[in-house]
Amino acid sequence: MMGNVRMPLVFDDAALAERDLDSVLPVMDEEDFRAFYERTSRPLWSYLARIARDRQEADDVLQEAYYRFYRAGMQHTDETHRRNSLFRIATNIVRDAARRAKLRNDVPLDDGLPLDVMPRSHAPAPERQASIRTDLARGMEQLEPLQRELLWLAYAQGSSHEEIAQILGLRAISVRTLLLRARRKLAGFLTGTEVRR
Amino acid sequence: MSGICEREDELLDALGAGYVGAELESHVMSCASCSELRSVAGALLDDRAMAMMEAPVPSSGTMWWRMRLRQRQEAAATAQRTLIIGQAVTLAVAIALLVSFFGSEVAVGVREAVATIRVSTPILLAIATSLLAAPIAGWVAVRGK
Repeated sequence: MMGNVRMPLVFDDAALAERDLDSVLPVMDEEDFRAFYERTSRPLWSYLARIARDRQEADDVLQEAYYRFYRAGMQHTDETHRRNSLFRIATNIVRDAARRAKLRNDVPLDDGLPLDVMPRSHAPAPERQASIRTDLARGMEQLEPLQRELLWLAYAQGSSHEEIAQILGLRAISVRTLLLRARRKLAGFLTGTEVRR
Repeated sequence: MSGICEREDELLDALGAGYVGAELESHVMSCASCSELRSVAGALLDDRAMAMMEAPVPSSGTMWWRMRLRQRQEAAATAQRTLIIGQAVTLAVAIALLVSFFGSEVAVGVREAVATIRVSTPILLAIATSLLAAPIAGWVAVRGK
């Protein structure tokens, strides 16, 4: 499917190696890819917009992540494994971009303000949306990138500690401690007990 | 607040479902850990609900088309690189053959030509310096970018 432009596998999962290769999902064709994209693109964009804090970067990384994911032609054991693989690729792209920006001393485009809001019926009320977003965006801004990733995956995405460890390249045993620390810090900002820089 | 409450998973499920029952609610009011979890997870879940709706993602068809296009472009670029490498190897082999056939005569000719050139020492030094400095300057310029 991929011709001669495959890149090395970037999602190294020991669990996959232990399983019977007959039980893995087949490499995606167009129909599979489009269905997978429909299920994952919005959650992925939301994650990227919050960890990168830049809509434009989220747009770019989204496309790059799907391309690398597709080009890698990896095999996955199930839908969760496939989704985690995509999120890990996207996380690595954001981290690489941040490293390059740091080397260039780039100033982020983000001004710390929340993203625009498009209200829908089952979203919180508009005035509450604005309040949540302002407080949360400012609180998230004070966190380390890894803390933002952890919090979003654990509480917004609902990923398990094992999944978070796979996506972020951490040991599962570390996730609990790091997550608790990040949660306390953000809670401090949200409740006003943490001093903002 | 030192530990994690054992009802946190229950609270997370309830927040995800959008409904926290009265009994759990009263527990949250009296539990610092659950209270902290609700403030953080609640805000993040609300934010995710809004972000999911506003996400400006291209359609799956557009994304598929862009990926295929980029894949074709990369394949063409790879083929182009392979072609250039092949041409370079061919050229190198041709030069090696020429040198092996006519190398000795050419070397003698070059030595005689060099021997006839009369250049003063300062000019020779200037030429040598520029030959040494040019690659270093090029490297510095490329690295600067």
